[in-house]
Amino acid sequence: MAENASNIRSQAKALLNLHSWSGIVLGMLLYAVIFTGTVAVIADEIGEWSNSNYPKNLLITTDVNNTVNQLAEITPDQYLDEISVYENDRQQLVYFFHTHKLNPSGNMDEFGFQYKVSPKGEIISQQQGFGSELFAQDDTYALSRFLVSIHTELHIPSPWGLILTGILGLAMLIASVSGFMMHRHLFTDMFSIRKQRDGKSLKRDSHTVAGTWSIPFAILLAFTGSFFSFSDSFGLPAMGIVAFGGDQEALMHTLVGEQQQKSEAPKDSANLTLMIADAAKRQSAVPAFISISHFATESASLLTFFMPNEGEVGFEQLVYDATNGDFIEYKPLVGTVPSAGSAILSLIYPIHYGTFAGLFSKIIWVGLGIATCYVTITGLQLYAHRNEKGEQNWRWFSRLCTWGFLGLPLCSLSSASGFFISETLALNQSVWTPLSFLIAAAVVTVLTLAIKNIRLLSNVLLASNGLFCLLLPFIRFSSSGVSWIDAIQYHMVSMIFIECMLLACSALCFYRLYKSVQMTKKDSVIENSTLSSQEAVQ
Amino acid sequence: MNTSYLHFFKNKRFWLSGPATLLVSLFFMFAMAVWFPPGIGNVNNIMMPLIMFPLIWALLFFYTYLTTDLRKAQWLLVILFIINSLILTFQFLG
Repeated sequence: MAENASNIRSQAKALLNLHSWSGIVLGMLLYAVIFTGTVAVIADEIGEWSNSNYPKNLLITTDVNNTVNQLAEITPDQYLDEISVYENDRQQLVYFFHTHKLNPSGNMDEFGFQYKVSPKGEIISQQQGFGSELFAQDDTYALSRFLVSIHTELHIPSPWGLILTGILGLAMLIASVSGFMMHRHLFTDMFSIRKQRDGKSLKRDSHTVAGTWSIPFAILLAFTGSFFSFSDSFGLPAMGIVAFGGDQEALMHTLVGEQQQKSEAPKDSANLTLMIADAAKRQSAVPAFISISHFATESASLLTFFMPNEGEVGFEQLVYDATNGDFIEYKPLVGTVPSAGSAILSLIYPIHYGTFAGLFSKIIWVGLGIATCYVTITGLQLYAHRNEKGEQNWRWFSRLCTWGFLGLPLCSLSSASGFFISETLALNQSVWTPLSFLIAAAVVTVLTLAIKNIRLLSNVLLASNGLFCLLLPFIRFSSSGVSWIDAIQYHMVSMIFIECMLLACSALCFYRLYKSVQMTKKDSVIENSTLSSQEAVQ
Repeated sequence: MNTSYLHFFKNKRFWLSGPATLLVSLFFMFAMAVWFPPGIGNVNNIMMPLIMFPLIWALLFFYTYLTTDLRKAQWLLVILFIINSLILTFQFLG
């Protein structure tokens, strides 16, 4: 009996050690990934907001068939292999006529001509290059792409960034599972903030409550996130080596579900616009993008891709025979016929990014993301507080926490400001967005080193965050000229949503600042009264 | 936790739960591509190992970290390593 109790105690201690170390060693990076992941959930909305745009559903309101035929005439034949079409955040349709070949990094990539076409069918721009390069230089997505890339690979060159975020996913899995196993009173811990507590004890209660609520969410995200990172970085190529003897092309054909040999005999394609309209009617939605394979040949086909629709959780792909316009099938995400692997894969993305119920599920995911950020922050602060009391040397850890926790949101807000200001000044937004982040990071670092009082440093960073959140809607308005009245008139839901969130964050920052100033005043009053009573005794 | 930061390098459990578990999980994932039924879609043997990898790693990690019988955990990892290595050897050389 005594031995059993001792085993339970040592196991609980081991779990606490594991929970602490997994958070401490990778906590700051984990916070960066969770914070930017919370932002990545609303990346599409940020894309629309940053361009003061709303989707015009150009794929179903313009004559795609006519434009494809016109562009095919001016494009070399080898790039008719595949044509992808999507609407960007500047009310243009982007047509990418491409084939596949190795890029300078040695990875298989799309290569061809990209045309940006206005709703009236006029070519606005034309570029030739690899798909990865064209996307990386596209100013339309400069802000959302920069923020999402911090989340997916921390801007570390591939595959190392992906491997690091995969390891962070596993660390999050350890922290959340060990946190779950440590709880002896799971349900009472969900509501147990004791009113009489303050300081460190209150922080511990808050950490436990927020952690308990977000455990299932954290486990799900850690699992799906590490799957994304590891499968992209080395998992898929490794599967190609084991299952296909290293033939990566055969692996891709199996996953995409396409025959390797196709007839390239010329044949006129059927009307693409009618096929897209039919797909939109079947799904009661507008496709996110379309892909036309082997255009104007006997093997021509059209794939329409839909984001999760009402009542559905996964993606939908409808395939048409582009030679006669007949609907062929609902294609699984991977392979040619429905399978367990494909079904699970089509669930993983919506679960990770919370896209399964539109903006509603995204708001819940953002809320849970903020709770998980809070758990990481309070966890590290608890550790810093514990060590600070014993050793003065640990003061740097509290400083590091303040630098990271308040600095990262400030740098992200600064990158958004850089995006808008560079647009106004007609500068390269893809360059100035990350540069603004780095400038802000340098300023925050200098402030962290210069301001000795941690509470003052925290207040300065809080005030800056609040100010940026408050000013960003005005900066966006001055750069685009699109007001809230326009937003309401054109149902620009994403824009209103993001700006309401910014204003709410600003209010929260100033409220926290007010509380912090009040607490400083209270502390100084207590200190003064203690000093005066000591003087009176003397 | 404060006394010695490098003490864990001397700990057998660290090596079992850390590098050994990672290595065995990777071999398990690679070997799954060989023995897992591909299904009619011919993709299950590619997708399922990738999806299962974090789960396999987490299971082995928590088992080796929490077990009181380290010898048993060590043998489990050795057996898994040998079985999966044999499967991969037969796949490439057989």
